[in-house]
Amino acid sequence: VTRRAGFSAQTLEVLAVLCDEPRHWWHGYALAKRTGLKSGTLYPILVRLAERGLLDAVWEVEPEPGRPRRHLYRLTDLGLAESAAAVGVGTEPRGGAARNRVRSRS
Amino acid sequence: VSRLRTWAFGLLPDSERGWAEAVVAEAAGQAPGRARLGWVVGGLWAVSRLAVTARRGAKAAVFVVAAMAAVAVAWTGDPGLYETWLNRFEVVTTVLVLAVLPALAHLLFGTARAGWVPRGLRVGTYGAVLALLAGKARIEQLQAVVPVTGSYRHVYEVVTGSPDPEPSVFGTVFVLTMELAVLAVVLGAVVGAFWVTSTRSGVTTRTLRIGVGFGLALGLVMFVVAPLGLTDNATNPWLPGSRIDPLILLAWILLLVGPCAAAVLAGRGYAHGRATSTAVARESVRQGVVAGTIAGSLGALVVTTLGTCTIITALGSDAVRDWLSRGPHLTGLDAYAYELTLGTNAWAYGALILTFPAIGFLVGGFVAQSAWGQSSSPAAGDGGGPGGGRAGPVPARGPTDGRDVDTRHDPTTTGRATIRQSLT
Repeated sequence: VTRRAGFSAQTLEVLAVLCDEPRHWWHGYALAKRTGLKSGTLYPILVRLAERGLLDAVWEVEPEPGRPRRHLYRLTDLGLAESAAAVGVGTEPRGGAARNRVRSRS
Repeated sequence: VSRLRTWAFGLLPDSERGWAEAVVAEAAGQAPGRARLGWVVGGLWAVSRLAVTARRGAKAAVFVVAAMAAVAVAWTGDPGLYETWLNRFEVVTTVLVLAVLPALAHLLFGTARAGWVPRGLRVGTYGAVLALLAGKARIEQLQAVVPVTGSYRHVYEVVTGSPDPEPSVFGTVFVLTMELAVLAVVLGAVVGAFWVTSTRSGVTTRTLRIGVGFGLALGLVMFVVAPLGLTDNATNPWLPGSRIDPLILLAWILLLVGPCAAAVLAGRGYAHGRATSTAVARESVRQGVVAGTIAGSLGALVVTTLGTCTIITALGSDAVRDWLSRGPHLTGLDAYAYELTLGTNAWAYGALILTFPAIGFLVGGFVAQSAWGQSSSPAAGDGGGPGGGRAGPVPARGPTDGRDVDTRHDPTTTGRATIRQSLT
């Protein structure tokens, strides 16, 4: 897979978190907490990733009682391949490896 | 609140509405108070911006509407007068140039820089140029119509100082030359806006902000003092000192001080934190010259556009004219004399648009050269010249991805380097 140009540092952070557990559905607040990004930075990144077909975005089917439905995100197969190439790690699910790298940065 | 939210979200396109709802849905996860408010405001602002910037078709439509309006204004006029045809030529030429310029600038200057200041400068220059040419055409239409006889003819002759309305060959050539010069300067301003906001120009964001800031301040002050054209007195009838010259003097002092200060700040900003070298000094001079030129050019464009628009508003509305003239009971002849005077005063704006950019360039260049020029000569400093030994560090030039050239202050570049390092 060729490296895809145009990912900003913040996008790479989001991709690293999403790569960390590629089958897990993430919501925006959790992504913001993990990456330290504010909503004004995070959501444009999610929008662009979704527009490029790298991110699946769905609405929660069974919301928690007393809470509105949330938007959930995870990488598509294409997104997984692209982000793996961009952050320079393999495409296999990696458990905590990428997570530890991201954490060690902060 | 729920209704208001539904209404506000309804303003967004379908594609962005879901994202706005997603932002709000996550707000409950934030602590109540500032954190939650910040989350919602920041997220909604970002999503709204995406909705606006993604609509390139909408931007093109806005340009088409504005261009058509400008052409329509210039097209009305007596086709028997050469001024009418001159205005038509100017506006159509300008619209065509503006239409192809973004693509041309991309080819020549590289990627246009993102951000509010660069984008605002480009869009603002487009709007100002269209408004200016339309307003100029409207004013010239008024002046071109010469009353045949009677009191109105007398007023015309007194106000315009032209007892013989038939222009001589020399006069016609002079007017044509000036018109073409104004057109060239105006189009040059648009090209200049594209250049300074391109990555290839190497103009730093700081320089851009300084130049734009001083240019806006200069233009607005000049406009407040002389909103109805330029004479030797302040033409703002609502200023308490409008009958005295010091206000005009103040505006002219600002014209010299603005580019001067812009040049000093931009040059110092570039040199700050960098090791002294010939290359850095030379680049400081260049940043200073650019900041001074932007300040002078933008100041001229602001005062000329706002002033011209104020005058054509007065020409088109009795209420505005009466308010501006502080005389609600003008007779028809008085009103004609007043409008003709405004049109005559507006001509001086042409002098501003021709001279201010040059003054900004010269003042900025002089000051920057005085401050850093000695260090930038090949014989001085630590290199670059024949006897200078090892060449000094080359100032950071623009990367090709549309980001700021000043990589020291580019959080994106720094962040990317950090994450690359951490992930390897």
